[in-house]
Amino acid sequence: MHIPDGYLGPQTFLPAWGVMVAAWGIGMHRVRNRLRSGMVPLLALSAAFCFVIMMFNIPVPGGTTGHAVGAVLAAILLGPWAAMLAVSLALILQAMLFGDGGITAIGANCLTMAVVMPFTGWGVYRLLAGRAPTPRRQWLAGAAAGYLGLNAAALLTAVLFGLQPILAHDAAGRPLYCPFGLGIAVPAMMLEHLLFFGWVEAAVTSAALAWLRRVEPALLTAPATEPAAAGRPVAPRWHRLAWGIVVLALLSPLGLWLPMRFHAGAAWGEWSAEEIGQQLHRTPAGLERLEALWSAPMPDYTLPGQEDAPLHRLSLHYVLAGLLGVGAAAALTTGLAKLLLHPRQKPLPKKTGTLA
Amino acid sequence: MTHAAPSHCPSAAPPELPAWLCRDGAMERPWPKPGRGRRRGVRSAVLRQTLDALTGLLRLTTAPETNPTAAPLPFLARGLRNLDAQAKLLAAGVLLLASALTPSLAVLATVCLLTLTLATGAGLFRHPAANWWLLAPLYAMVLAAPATLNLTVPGDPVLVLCQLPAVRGLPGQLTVTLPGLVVAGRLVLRVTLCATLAWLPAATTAPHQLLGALRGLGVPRLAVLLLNQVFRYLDVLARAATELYLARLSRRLAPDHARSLRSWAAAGMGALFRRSRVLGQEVHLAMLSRGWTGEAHPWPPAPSWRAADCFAAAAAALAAAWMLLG
Repeated sequence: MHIPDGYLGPQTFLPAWGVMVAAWGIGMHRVRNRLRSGMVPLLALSAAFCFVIMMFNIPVPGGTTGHAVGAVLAAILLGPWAAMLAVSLALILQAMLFGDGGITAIGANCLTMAVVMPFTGWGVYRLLAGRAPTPRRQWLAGAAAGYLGLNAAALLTAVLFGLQPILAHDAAGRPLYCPFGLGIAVPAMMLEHLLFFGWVEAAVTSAALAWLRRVEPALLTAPATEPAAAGRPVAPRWHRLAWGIVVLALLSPLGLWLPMRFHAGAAWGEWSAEEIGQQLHRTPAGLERLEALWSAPMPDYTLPGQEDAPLHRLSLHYVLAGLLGVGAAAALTTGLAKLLLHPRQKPLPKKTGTLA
Repeated sequence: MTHAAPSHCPSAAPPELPAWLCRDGAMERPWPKPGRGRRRGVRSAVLRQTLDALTGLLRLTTAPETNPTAAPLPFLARGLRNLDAQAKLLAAGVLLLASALTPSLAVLATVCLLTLTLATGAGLFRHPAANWWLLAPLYAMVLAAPATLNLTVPGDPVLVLCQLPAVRGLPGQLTVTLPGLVVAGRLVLRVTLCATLAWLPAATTAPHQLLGALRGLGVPRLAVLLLNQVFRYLDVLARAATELYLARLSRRLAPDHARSLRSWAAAGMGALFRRSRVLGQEVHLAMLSRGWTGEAHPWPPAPSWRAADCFAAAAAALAAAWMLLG
């Protein structure tokens, strides 16, 4: 399931990196508050554990072998956030030092195998196992979690592959990256995972849980990253987020420049009535009427009447639109939060932790 | 914490140390190759396949950086090894991004040819992990093969393969099309180029230097510290798993059933998790006893770039600009 470089276009791998940077930030914040300095070796060893168990070959019904990913097992044993960080570290190391999985695709690989898989598996396990599971229930919950976690990750991988012909193609309409659409990528990927590899993950997860329950049941009752010591949580560092948003807003003209450079048309499904008219040789009347209903204050992220301005001026308008949008969204969210939060629920105090 | 430091046998071991004391003796693959017969086939091969994978990993994590007994490296390999790790990472990263963005088949083919020449000159095909690197282009070829057919990418036929039965929705003939060849060629070239560019710095730089270079390039200190520790303890856990598998293999008298092998592998994972947890606690105590306060120490400053490093980074930036704008 490791996606190599070259299969995903920038329209996919850049957002995946963005999502993962945010997820890693949240994960570090959540784990840091709970484990203090013990987090570093525990996370490192957990990542090494995830790396090594990916080497274990398992016989599959049908006469072949597969290997487990182990992300669901890690999520049940360590908690989903720590598992996300551990599997991410293992995947980054695999890509950087061993060439397994792409560098540009690290974000996408982590999204599928370090986020979707452990969180789905952990959610299914908690749902089925309940608070005080019997051995049989725990075994079944582990199997279902392994099976569904792996298949959810495989489905997302297949969707990422299948979106490539829609998102990135040359002037002649030929795909620039993975050439197979959703109609081919999803069945091809899901068939093998639903029939073979899902069962491997299910068998391994449930059997490992059964073994641990017999040998050391304490490991299953309190995951390694559950609150161990009382400690006041560290308030998030909002100024970093704010600077990150400003930098992203300043980089936003790339969204203008890259499509121009590669002669890309409008994104799939975002055509104007005029563009649809050119494709279909007629414009649906209802669409034309609906399009005239609302005229945006900054159409296409430019000031009104400036659609044909030179590129440098359009870039400035783009940045301006980005900053205005972020400001409006922040104001709206803050207002809603103030309205909805209980009056006694005060914000967290400023930083009290000491960990780096 | 003596077990935390990987041993570097045979190069790191004193010369008077007998071979049987060298811990890396286990890496000499003492088990026979998997049998070919159907009965011996998959079931008996599972243990050996895993052992091979673990041994390959151990060979990589404990590979000595400089082996005095090894043959001298070719000029290009020496040049690449002597470049600063930061310059190599930066150059490879810029070229990798440009390779992922450029739509031109001709540009991809030219840069791919140059990069493969560089990789051959640097002796990358003889690297212990070369099969991991070569797997990506081979897999891309297999995956891209259906894209050459008119069923997937229609267009002008180049080669007629066979007549198809008259079924509604199917074309009359199965052909290889020109647009299909372009699409498949672009995918294979892009994957080969990106895999080689990603592999070049990894194969020509010591892992700890590569991870240190990440810090110099602005990756957060804690992330680099974690990656460094993962790499260090990977060796310990891989060795523990190898011992588990070797013990199982040596105790096996009759062929295993697939079910018992699955149970055994799951128990092995459980045992490895216990081991990793205990080791994590021991390492934490060792760190505390050495004055760890939760703050990652500042990383040692990277050496200043020499002319060759600046030249490599500038050449990569120029090549990337040509790939994107040319």
